[in-house]
Amino acid sequence: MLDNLPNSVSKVPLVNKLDLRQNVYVRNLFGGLELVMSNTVTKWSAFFLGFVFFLGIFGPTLAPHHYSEQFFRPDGTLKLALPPLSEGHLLGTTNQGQDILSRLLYGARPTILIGLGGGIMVSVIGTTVGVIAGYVGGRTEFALMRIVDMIYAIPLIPFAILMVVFFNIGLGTTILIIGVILWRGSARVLRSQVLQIKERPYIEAARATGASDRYIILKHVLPNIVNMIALFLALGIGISILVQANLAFIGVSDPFTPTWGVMIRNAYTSGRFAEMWWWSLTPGFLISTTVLCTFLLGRGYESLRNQRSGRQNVDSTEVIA
Amino acid sequence: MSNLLEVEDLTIQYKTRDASVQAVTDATFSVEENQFVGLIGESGSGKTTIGEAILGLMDDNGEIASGKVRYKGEEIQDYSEEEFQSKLRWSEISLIPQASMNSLDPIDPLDQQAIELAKTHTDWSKQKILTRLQELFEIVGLPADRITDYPFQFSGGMQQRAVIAFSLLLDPEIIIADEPTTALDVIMQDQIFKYINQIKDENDTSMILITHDISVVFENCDTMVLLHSGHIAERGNIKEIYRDPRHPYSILLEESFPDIRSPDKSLAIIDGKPPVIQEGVDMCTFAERCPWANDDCFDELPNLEPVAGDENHYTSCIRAEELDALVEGSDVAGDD
Amino acid sequence: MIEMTAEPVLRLEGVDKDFSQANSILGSIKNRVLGRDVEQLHAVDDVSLTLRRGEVQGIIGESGCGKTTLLKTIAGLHEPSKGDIIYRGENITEYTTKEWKEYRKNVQIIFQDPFNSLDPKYPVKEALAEPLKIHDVDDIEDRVVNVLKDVKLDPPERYLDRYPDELSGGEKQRVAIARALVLDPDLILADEPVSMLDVSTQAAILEDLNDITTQQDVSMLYISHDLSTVSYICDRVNVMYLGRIVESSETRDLLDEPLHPYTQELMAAIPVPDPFAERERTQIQGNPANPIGLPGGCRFKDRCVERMDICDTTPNDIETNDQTEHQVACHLHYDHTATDDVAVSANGGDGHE
Repeated sequence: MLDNLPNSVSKVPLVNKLDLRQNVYVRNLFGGLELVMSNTVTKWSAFFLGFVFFLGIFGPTLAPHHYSEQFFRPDGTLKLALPPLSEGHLLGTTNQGQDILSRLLYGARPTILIGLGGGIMVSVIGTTVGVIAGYVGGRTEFALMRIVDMIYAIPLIPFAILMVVFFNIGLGTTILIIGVILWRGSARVLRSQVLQIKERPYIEAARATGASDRYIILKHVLPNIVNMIALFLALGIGISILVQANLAFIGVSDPFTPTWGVMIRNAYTSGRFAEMWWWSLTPGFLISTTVLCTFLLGRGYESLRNQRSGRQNVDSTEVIA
Repeated sequence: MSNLLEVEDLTIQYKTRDASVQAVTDATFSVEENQFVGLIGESGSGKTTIGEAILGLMDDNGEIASGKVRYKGEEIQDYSEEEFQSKLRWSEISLIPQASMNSLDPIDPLDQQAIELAKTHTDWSKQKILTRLQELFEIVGLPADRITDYPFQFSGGMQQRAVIAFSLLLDPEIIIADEPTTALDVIMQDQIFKYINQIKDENDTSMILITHDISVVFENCDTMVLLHSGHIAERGNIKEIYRDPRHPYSILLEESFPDIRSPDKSLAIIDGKPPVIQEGVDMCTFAERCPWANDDCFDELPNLEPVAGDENHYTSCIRAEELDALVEGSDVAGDD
Repeated sequence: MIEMTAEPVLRLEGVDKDFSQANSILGSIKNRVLGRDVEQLHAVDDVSLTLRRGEVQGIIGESGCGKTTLLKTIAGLHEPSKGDIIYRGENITEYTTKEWKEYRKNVQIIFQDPFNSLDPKYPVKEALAEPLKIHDVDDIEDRVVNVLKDVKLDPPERYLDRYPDELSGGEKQRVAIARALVLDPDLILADEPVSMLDVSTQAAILEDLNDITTQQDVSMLYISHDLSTVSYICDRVNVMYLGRIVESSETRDLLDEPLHPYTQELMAAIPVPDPFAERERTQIQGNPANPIGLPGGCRFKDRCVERMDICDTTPNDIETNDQTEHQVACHLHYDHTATDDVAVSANGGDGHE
């Protein structure tokens, strides 16, 4: 019933700045990965997302053809609107004779880039604003939160349309449009997390010992909310991909880059949406599954952490913009 | 005096993901009419578990492995949730849970909560319920016209008293009070026990007082049950045990409380922590911490035996007879 | 060992801490525009005390009486609204940033809640190394190992890599104490460090705090609501009620002869671990008054058994009673025929120390 004492105790080196394993953020990361792998749902969501990410990097390399290449038969006719598994096209062709599989693979990269870009913007801006508002308080908090309120009042899609009227439609613009609006939810939630943490005795102890605010934020506040930030990153990626698909569908995006959203749009505008079901199904399936996995991963991870620490954290459903 | 409640050889286990924990082992004690029983122990001693088990309020992963609980002669340990609700809870045995100010629903005013509570277990009229609530408020020193307030309009101490009033609403035979005054300061604690004792006198109510504070038990209870790692170390009439403690844990525990009457007395330190019992226990739970344990103490779990043939005093220390000499010979207990 | 003649470690003179009741920006703007006088919460009101080297002084009072606020103000977590805090002869409200850093090195705090006073993300060795790193102290390893031994977490190597959730409540609190000790402070501010622990753990930790303060020449201010633990460990006790110190004396003297009606009630309410003792229940009614917008006069008057008219109209003063420096702020003990001007300054009592 009593622990066994070790026979010989060696002196443990205490301070090892160069040892990355000692770093609290690295510890959090590995701990998080371990947690994700422990649960079936989060594990497979993570694997799928890994696969999608892989497509993002290697898509164009893997694609059998170029995305805008049109295919002709020996007799000179275009291979138009072919269903899957016909004439050497695994997923069929578009109404202009382009290989859908190739388009899918090429389209992975911009889709994911937008997702990542949007997700990163959402979590970075949201964290910065949330932490500053929560920690500093007072008028700064007041001002920042009123800005958040105003941004909540802006509807995303009409805003995107407006931006497109004034600026070019491009990869960067799309990321910008999404990022500039959607950080509002994560800022609010993270601020309330910070408010809770700020009151904890270990923060007061650090202040009483003479730690600067910057030190406290970096060493004590952030490590304790980093899991929430990771959650928002995952959700942000998912939402960005969804929003991008939405924008593409209504035509507010570059029609020449075959992102998955654009493919669905093209299928729609061809007038043969239902007939050529294979054209929209594959990108649609990929979008939904990707987004689903980001949500499952994010929320699953959050509830795993809650189970472990047994504490009630703020629910992330508040964040859905 | 007949026994209202009898707990016999109760053993309770909890199953967690990794292992199982035996929170209570072979607990036996009883509660008579108009009697206050103090259930004392440190955290992890199983005292709250016993209180929960009596009312069927344990978490899902807890179960009564063996033993019986009898209320007015009838066995209740296997009651279904429905039976607990309709036959036992609130109307016969009520509970003042730990941190009880948190058990009041913040959304409804107090009179609504009382009405809901009473209507679940009885068919009293609304009028009767409210009148009774007002009476109880007066008994616990709360203004009767404030039964319509919301919990947040009361201070912490007042909320505590409101919960006590609720526990009396249906005039139960036994109240199980789990650390009812821990969060309160000493003046409020005194006030509350004053009311509790008044209630005992006027209503003939019995109580199981679960706490770690032996002073409060010595002052207010008639009998006490001392738990260590889920096993009863000593049990009996309060005055008997005070005069003649027969378990090392009782002796040391008493000496580890600072006493304001002798502030310079040094406190007894008990080594180690109460062990967590996993599957079964085959030695005295206190043996590793006991300054007077011998080899026999590690052999098997001792049973509760009467002290010198006294029906009101039981101990599970096999060296109970020699205890006086042993304590004398060592200087572990504080010097007066 | 209390050094009677040296400069006291800490002196508080008429310290006030008020909290304004305007909750929001709009609220405070509105108040300023309309010229409204905002009601203040006088959490700490005119508190004076002197702490000598090596002394352990206690402050007892019910929850909400302001003792925690007072402690935090001394620790520099709040700014006093009025009054002086004098550390080793220097007024800390006039400190430069550099001097504050030095102060924070020498004045450490132990919190009440063992479950939240350590950052769950860091193991013990990093929690203890942190104060040392903040103040650029060398030989971190040695100090950390030694301080663990001081708080009886032996062998230290067993605890270095453990995380807070792997420690018991008592062990966590010992680490918190170790953290307070690691910089070799002059003054420790302890906020009920044992109230959330089991009794047997309490005893052990109180004993250790006793040893530490005696052996290491550290002064301590110990606040609690439990007179039993305070009288065990403190040389001198101050009784606080609704932000004010109402009685102050050497421990033994206070226990033998409490003078203020509130102290008397407090002591009468303590349960005695003796079933044969007959104790009279406390007669006191009601709760402490709302600390916001208190009327003038004695703050205990609404619950005091001995209340007189004079308790209403004049403010209180601390009055020395005898050689043990037993001070009490109560009109019962004040010689009203002595002077016409009742507003005798507090220095009348503190003068010869």
